[in-house]
Amino acid sequence: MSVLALEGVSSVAGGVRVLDRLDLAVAAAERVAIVAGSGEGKSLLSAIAIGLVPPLAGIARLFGTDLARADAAAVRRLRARCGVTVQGGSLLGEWSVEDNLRLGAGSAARVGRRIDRLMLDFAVERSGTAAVQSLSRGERRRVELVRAFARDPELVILDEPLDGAHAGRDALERAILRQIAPRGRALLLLTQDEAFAARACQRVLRLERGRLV
Amino acid sequence: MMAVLRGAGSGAWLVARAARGTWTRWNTGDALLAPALARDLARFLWTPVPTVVALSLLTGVIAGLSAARVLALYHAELLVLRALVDALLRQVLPLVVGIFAASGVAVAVANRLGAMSLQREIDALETMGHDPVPFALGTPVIAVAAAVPVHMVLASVAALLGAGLLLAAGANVPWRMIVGIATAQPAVAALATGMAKVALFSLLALMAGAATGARRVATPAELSAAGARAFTRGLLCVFGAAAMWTALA
Repeated sequence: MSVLALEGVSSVAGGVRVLDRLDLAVAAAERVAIVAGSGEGKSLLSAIAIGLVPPLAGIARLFGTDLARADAAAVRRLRARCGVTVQGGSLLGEWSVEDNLRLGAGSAARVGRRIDRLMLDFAVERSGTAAVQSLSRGERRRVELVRAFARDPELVILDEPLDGAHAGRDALERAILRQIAPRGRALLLLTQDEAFAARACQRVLRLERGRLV
Repeated sequence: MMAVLRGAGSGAWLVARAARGTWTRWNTGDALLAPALARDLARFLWTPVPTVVALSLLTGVIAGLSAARVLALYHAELLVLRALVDALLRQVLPLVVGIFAASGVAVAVANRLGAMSLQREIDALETMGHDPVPFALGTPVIAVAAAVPVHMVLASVAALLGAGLLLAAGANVPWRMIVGIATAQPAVAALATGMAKVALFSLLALMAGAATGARRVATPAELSAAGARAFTRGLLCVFGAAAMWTALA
């Protein structure tokens, strides 16, 4: 069974058709990359995949459930099984790094240990008590990645995960990949970086004029 | 008219959803609730205290000055003092605190929701499978509810002190008489009514802020416009409710 399936999905943004009868299926433990330029609809695709935005036409299924037919609480329960980073960042600015991570994963002791390990892996172990607003763009991105993996997700959707990472880009890439393949997680990677997509994923698709080729 | 009803409905629904969601967070032992509540208590309860006290003191001074002038003409201390205390506690101070709530609470809530939307924090909460409403509005609802009695009691003390100073100095009214009237049963009843009014005004301000802030904003300019809109709506709600309360009482 696919953990994520988009069937004939179309959507418009700013009066322009961005996604055009798009079909996509991501199986459990499968790694799929979608490569597209800026403004081609990657972020919209990610939002549709987790039910943040309804498609204009077509069906989006997450873990086999049609998101349009499920109620809000059910959709949130399905989203809680995913680890998602969005382009441009989405940490809660008023909160500390640790609070942001606990928000993503809960506060059980077992989860706390997992967060500590992830913070070490992503080299943000010194930022735990820091306010999010005091972090650099690269640090914020790494904290977002820790948050995405902290809940032990079955499906990971990463939108430009290396955005803002200049120095230590290779180490960050390795840290991401260590969290995906060995743990049997499914990955939907949305990026402009074809080389990274090829290294990280089994299937690389290109989003062109709203269709996957 | 439809827009007003829609706004009121959406504000009430958001506040109720925030309260219910916060209750769930409390029951599930959410460790993030206490620090967020501490931040919002500081913002909505303690930070406004100096301004509430100063505004109330000045209101009391103005009322005391007017009462001293009346007393210079009529020498009806008991009657004028009782009327003054009743008017202050039942009518004037709830409006003063209510206007302050409208400006502070409505604008703060609208700005918070707008900023969260602008910085994609609402989307982030949704992405993690959380209902964003209790996280954005839950702790402000509790903080505003806790602020009502504290602000009203402090406002009353400050206003009566301001009025008493003017009456004692300007009209030679003994402090014992002022304290006796201010602590008598009718004054306590007037304070309770005033507190109920402030609770209603604060709730309306919260609803106005929530309904205004719930609209997505795309630019900082829109955020600032939403704050101004929330202030105007909050003020209209407070004065509308005050007028209806007086008419129905």
